Amino acid sequence: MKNPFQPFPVTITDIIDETPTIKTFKLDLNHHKFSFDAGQFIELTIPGVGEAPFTPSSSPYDKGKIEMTIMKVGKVTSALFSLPVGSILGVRGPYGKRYPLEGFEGREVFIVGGGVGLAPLRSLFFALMHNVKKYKKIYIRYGARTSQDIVYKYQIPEWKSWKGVEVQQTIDVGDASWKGKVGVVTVLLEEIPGDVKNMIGVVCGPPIMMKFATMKLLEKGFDGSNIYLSMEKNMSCGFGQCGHCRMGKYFVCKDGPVLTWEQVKDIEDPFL
Amino acid sequence: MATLFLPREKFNAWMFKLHSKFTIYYPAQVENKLHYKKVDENFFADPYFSIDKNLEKIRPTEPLKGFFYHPKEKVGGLDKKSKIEVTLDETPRIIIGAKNCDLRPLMVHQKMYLENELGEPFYKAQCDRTIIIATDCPVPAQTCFCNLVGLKPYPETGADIIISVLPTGYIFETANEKGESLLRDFNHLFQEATTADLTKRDEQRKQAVATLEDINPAKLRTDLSKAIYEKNEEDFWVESAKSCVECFGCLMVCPTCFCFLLYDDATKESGFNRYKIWDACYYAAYARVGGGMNTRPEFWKRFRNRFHCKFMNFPNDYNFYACSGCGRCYSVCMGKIDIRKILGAL
Repeated sequence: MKNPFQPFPVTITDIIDETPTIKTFKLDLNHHKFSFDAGQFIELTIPGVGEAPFTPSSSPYDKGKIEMTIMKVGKVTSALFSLPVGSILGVRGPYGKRYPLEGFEGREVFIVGGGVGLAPLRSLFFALMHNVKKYKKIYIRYGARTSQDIVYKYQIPEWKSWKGVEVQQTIDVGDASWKGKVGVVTVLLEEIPGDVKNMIGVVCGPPIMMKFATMKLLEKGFDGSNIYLSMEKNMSCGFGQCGHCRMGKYFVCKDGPVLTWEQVKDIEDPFL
Repeated sequence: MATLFLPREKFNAWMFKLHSKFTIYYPAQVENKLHYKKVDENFFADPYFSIDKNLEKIRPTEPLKGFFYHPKEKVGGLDKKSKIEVTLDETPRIIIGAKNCDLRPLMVHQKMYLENELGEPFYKAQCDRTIIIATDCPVPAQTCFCNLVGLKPYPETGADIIISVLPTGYIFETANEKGESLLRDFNHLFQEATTADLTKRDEQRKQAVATLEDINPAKLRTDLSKAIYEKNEEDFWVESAKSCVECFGCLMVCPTCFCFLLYDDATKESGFNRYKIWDACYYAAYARVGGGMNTRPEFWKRFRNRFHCKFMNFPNDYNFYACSGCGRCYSVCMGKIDIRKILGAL
């Protein structure tokens, strides 16, 4: 029997402290046949505690393992943060639609992340880098609350040196150690180089940041159908049966979790 | 498919034979309510016992969906690194006495579960092992409104056999092979239904339709889904939900509500069992996400969501309402909220 509610066991092989409230968990898939595309998500089970949806932050091209960058916000994530390396977790999926990368080819991709929202975008970024020549240019605009809240501090400097990539960062509240820009992420959206009309925008972050970043991209001339938004909804089953993530005409788990502005613009409070 | 007649006095003989092969459920009177009950020896002990009267009443108190999708049902789990296998019950069973307002909801579940890309093996197994013998609903109650949502007070689709109770016996109409198989070995009990029998049945059905039209004379507007989409005034929904005590009984007895939650229970051996439990969009936590954000933090928005789901999203997706007019939501409502009045006011 194919049981869509049944997770398979994975093992935590490493834990990276990203910020005081965010960790990256490296998971070994125990030879289970599993692969995902950028944009898809999984349901992660903490045995005996519960299950919650997360998008992997590693490259879809990495086989046999996945990385999940997760913020401690509730019951499931708090339990996860207390687990040591070697612990067993459960995984179901992948679910949802992938980014239509073929439509990104020959264009500039403008990625806007806020806080832990950079996690699923890193998976997309790695997928783009895998075939970097296909895309005109990749921009990353990343905002965090403070310098302490920046994820992937150990990788971002390297990304800046990659060909075809341009990274800019800001933090909401500056400090003595920070030499870069200060202000919410939209300060990085004032000057958008390149062909804005044909540019692909990809946004993920807290709801309020998503809202203002989207408004700014539209104001700068992005086409609504070219703005891809990661919608956060309560997704219990992950494949359109349980009803929780219904948003207007969409089941966010099945039709998303990435939807375009064009798809969600008529929905009441799409970012709530 | 066949249309046969079973004289009243032979009904129990037929049931007795079936009872040796199947688990059978029928609508039984418990105090002054109808509930599904398993046929056991007591059913046959009383020679005067007849389920006629119960078959002629409106739908039982509990929705039929509970047979196919339990309020709490184990669907998996992990024991350290091993998956917990859940065995499917394949024992064949018969349910007698389902009404059309419990059959239409099966179409809702068909769309949501069985036509889903990943399917729902537990729900499917329950369907596969069940034979539904549905009955006409000759005497609709004041709470009934199947006519408003486009249904008839007699089985249309979803039954394997349809029974119409006549004064002298029963008309059996088989709808498929599953239904035929129950009558095959009983030629000695059944006879051909006569034209007079069928005429009597049609009269009874017409009478039931007329009764419903008397109960619910005002039709719902034909552009109902559009009207709901446009009805965004907070005042309207707050007023409509004013007497709601938030018991959510309406959604628990609703035969079409399909929402569920996956819920894990820790085992002593550091593993967990996973359960699929009935859920309802009226709960505050229903749409809440990890960080605490909630699409519908106010109750009026959750109240409205039920209307969005049943009368807007479902007809937009599948061309029929996810409401069968069974009236259970009104029957159980402590605040006496009548869904008909809200729909009528749109």
